[in-house]
Amino acid sequence: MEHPSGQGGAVVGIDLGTTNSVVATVLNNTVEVIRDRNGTGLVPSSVAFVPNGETLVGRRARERALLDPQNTISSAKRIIGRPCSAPETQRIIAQLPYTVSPGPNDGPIIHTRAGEKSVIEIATRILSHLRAGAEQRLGQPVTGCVVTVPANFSDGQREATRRAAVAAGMSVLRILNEPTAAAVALALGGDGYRRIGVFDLGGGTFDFTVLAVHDGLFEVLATGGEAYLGGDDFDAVLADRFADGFLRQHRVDLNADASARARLLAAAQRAKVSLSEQGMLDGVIHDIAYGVDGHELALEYSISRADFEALIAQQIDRAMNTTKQVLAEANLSPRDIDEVALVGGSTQIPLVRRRVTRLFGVEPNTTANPLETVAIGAAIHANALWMAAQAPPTSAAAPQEPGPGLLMDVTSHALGVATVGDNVQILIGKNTTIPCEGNHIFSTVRDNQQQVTIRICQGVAPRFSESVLLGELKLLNLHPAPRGETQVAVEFIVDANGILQVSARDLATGQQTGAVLSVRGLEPAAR
Amino acid sequence: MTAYAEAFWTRVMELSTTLDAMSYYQLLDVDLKAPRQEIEQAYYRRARNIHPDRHTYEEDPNRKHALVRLYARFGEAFRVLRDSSLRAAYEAELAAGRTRLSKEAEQASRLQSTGPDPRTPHAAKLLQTANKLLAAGNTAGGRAQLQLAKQFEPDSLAIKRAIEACDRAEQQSQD
Repeated sequence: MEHPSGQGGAVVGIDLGTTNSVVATVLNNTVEVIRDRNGTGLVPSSVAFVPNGETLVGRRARERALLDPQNTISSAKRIIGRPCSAPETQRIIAQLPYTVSPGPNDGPIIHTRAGEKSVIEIATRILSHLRAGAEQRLGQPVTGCVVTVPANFSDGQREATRRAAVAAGMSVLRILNEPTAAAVALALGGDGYRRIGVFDLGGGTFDFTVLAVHDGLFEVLATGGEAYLGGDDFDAVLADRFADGFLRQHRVDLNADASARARLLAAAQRAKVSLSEQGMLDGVIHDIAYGVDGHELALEYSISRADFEALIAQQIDRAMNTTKQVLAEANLSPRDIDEVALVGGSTQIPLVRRRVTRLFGVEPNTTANPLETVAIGAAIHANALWMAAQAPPTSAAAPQEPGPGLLMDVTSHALGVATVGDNVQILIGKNTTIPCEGNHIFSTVRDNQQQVTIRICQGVAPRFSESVLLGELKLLNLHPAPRGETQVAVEFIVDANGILQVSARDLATGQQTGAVLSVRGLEPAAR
Repeated sequence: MTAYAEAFWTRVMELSTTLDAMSYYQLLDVDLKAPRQEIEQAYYRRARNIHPDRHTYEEDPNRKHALVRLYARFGEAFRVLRDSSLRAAYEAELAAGRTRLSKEAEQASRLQSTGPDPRTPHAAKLLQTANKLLAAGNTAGGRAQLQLAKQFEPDSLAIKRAIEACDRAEQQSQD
């Protein structure tokens, strides 16, 4: 098989998921998902460090999750690029079976028997494994990729993902939002002006995105999400319920034992999936603990779909509220949406489908395989970017130019800077088409000040103390002058990846000045 | 490089030097009185041609940067001119000799906008529930609803005023 590139290098789309990853590529104008010998395209996003010094990735790593939970790293996507000490990050870390501590610039570091590993290193391992698998199937090197991320990912999370893909030896053509990728995969062949809602509930996060598709343009109108809402949380509430029952019956706390907790979570995950198919489930986990007299104890459970739905109802409410909020941001009502697509494993849950159908008054689109849609869209976009790079256009774009179309995605967060008092000046609004630009002029406040530190925040809170601190920008080597005289114009660009690029210019001299951006949770490095 | 592409980049580099002096209308090449539909057509036609993803063959970082700035400015022009209240605020800026709508003016325009406050049905519902709770003397319950509403619409004056009313009610109960 040869990639249409014909130049000994393929480009792929990678859905780097919380639980599973999928790779796809375009071959002879059709999209192919990279599958293993058993025909599955899902590769577990797990890395295991084995006692003999070996590192396992994918399915073989996942198999070790119950045996050796402290050295089997799964769901690392939930903490990638996040500041380790932030309360939300700590809440996730508390759910993870392995040990995480803050590293340089508050980036999360995982403690394994093979030493300390940054979360970016773990993602690099997974991406290298995916790349190797694709190269084996395609019979040629993979040189470029589009990697997808949740639309609600922050600057740091996107940049961390990008760095991992670069470290895995690929050039990153784009960091693409998962719901946008899904829309690209689903909207092919459509006609006229249509509004599409993408409801994306995966393992770790939730996103809702509204797009208008017209004349070959995919224009994102608004997007919003919940960074802490997904299938992992449903597993956790189900596991908690099992553990509560066990504690009452046997007076043994299964959550105190990492191995028991890992088995509990695995059983909860299987139960959750089964309850999408059947209304009632009974199960047993043998030898999960020992009683006071040394007897082996088994956990027996019995749960109905209605019980499970009651457990997760509040979380689904949050997703529905976010969906309504995104529609309001786009000045649309649910009836304005022509088509609704479900993406992500958790949308298989019947309660989710019922709620989505009730809100929009249309049956959601379920024709595509919801687990592969994102990778397919990423592959289509990777191919489009690659083709555009091969040769310049010969004429202006025709309104209905053949091809996969152009994406007009948006910022998922507002971006602002701290000003005097506790105020925030918003520089770039939420839902602004990217790439976009914001400018601000900063002055010195002391005589002969040579350095200015600017705090950058995310979100629309009018008070700085209420907003999320993204990081700091340091303007360096300013020329000595009385206070207020030195003025530096800073240009903030959110690029097509949703990643912030900053440049600074001294207004008096017109010269570029040093500007160093340091984002929490990431080691400082050139972007 | 094709002839079309050469001409395209020449035009991009020209525009990058005059960008700050051009009004949104000049950028999109539409009349000051152009209706919204015409502005949409003009924008989408241009956006399609100057979209950076259509020009990934170019490797010169200066040209790439100029194109990103140009595309971003087109986006800004469209975002302002398609929204009637922002467009009105921009008219005032233009009259004062400024070619861009400042973030301060934009924030002010949003606060003055005559649309419903809160804008979203969801926040309106929360505010309504809060007012009922407050009327029944349940300040804590009302405040919880309002704080949720504020998360949806941090810039809503109606929600802000209701929270202030909450503060006063609590102050009085303490006095």
